[in-house]
Amino acid sequence: MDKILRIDMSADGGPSVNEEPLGDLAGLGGRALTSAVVSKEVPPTCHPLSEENKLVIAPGLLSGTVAAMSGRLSIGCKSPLTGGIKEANAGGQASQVLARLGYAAIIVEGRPAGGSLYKVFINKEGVEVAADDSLKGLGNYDLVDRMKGVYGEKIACISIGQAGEMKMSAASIAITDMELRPTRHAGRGGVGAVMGAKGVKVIVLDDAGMKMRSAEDPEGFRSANKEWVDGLRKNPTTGEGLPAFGTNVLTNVINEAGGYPTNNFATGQFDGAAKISGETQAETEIARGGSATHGCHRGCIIRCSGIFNDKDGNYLTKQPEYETVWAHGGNCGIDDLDAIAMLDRLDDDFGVDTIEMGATIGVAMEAGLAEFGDAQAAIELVKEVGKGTPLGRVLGNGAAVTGKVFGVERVPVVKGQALPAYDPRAVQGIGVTYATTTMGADHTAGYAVATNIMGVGGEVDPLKAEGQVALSRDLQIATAAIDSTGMCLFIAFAVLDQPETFQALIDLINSFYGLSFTADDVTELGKSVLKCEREFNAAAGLSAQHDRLPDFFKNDPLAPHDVTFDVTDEDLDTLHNW
Amino acid sequence: MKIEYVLFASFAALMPVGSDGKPCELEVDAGTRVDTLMERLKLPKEKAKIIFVNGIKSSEDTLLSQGDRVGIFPIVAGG
Repeated sequence: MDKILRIDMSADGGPSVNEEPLGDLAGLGGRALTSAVVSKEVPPTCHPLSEENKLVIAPGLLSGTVAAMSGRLSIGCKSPLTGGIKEANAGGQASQVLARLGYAAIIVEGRPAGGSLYKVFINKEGVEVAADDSLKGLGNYDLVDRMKGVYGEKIACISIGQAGEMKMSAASIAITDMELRPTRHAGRGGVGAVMGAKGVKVIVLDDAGMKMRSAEDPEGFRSANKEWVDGLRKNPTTGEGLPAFGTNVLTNVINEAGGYPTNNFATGQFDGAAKISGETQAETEIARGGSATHGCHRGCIIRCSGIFNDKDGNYLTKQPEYETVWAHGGNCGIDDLDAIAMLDRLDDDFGVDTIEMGATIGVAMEAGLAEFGDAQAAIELVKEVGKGTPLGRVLGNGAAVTGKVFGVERVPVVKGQALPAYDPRAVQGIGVTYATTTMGADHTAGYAVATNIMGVGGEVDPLKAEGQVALSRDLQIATAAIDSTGMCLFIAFAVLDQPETFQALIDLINSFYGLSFTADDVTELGKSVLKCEREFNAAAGLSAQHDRLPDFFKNDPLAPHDVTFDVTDEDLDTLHNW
Repeated sequence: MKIEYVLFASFAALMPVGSDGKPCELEVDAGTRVDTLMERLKLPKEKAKIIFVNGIKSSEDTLLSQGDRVGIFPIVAGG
């Protein structure tokens, strides 16, 4: 990964391609790299759909190596949804392939003059950018089938569906998985709209003829990877829980805890939870010939994903994640797993963030566009998005826009981005993260749920304000560092509880690059990423007033525990003091 | 006294047949703690990582009262 690929979509005579050495970006990967580029090169006050915004696609420091779990891709830009800096992260195959092709990043700049749509093809021979208007209006699934027809089956694709073409703020970027299906999404913050604004429909990657990246110290790397794999295997979360049930095991956990946002954040428990739980989902998948244990990228040993077939045993979608099942399930009062799987399939095909889409349908239901619990109505609403009808365009721009258009008061967003699947009143640590992360309401940015609910990395009472700011701060810093390595965030469960596994991660980085990082250096990396993101956001016009949850979380007690979000504004404002 | 319990994820296999994820009622002595309940259900205590009593995070030492609902998970995670 010794070069940066810049694609200038504005160039006279058509998009131009330029390769350059790493320069200042040497030593950076993933989110560290995307945030460095965005904060240095994107004017913070630019319109996110303008030619001044940039779409930065970066594998992590260890992507393209044999290190287990190293296949995550970071995609950064100024977000059309939040108006601040964004890093969206996805699994799938693209990161490994792009890294082996030798690129530390692709930076898409400018905007094409005409209305053409472009495809990009990168292999060991080089880079081709060509207009192809026949791709207009294709969903991600049909698009990938087309690309297979042209380029063969050993490719990885980065693409947008109709939502990205229409520049909707909930638009995602799809990454293909090992079965070459567009099921892994860089979902949050409308990164798909930026790709659409730049006229890029798909980036096809083929690393045939390229080798695995090799370490400075191959022996040291091999031995660190062995320790790393052992640590992940022996940890009960990464070695047993996640492979068996996937992320949707959380439906019963968060529901039992009374923090499961139901009917657009009205209450904290859902009667239908057992019908859409991870346990039920795994049983259903296996009975129908799908799978409950499946990795989203080569090199993943946790295998938290799965394959969901319909009632006839035909492939429908990958195993829907907890966030997706919540957003389209309990948040909408829906307890039908097949309907939820269909919604997941539609979201993936149109290319929209499942969290934003589900939260939006919840707001639409609050507005009276459908009854809570009406699965068929929810499916029809999402189909409007794909069709690009006026209603579809409203919905496709997310929960905040939809709430505004229909005069809804209870709109669960921070910095314009919808809250994920944990009510901040009953899981106050995640509430702090939602409010204070640079990303808008984002659960992965500082996953305090692990400590508040699962008792990982300590114990902090989820129903009280005490200790939540310190918890969220530490996790936000650690996560910013992990997001730069290309490692799947689920390694954190092993790394937080097993010091020898944390050391193995540091040893992997050191032996690969010939460095001598310590745990303190990892912390410093995380802090420097957050610092440049905060600076960008401030210059973009985001202030402390945007580091707040909507007032209703402070005023309306949540059943069953009758709790409100009690962390004070003053305390929230201390989070970024270090 | 009567309490109800649900066992989740890999512990679901220890629930009575046909319970289908729904809570089961149990008659227990006054003064019963969560760990006694786990022994009675033949649940390996060292694997019981997430324990709720009436939705409040609890531990194996927690004392149970009439009408309590107990939910027990092995170590699980998600996102």
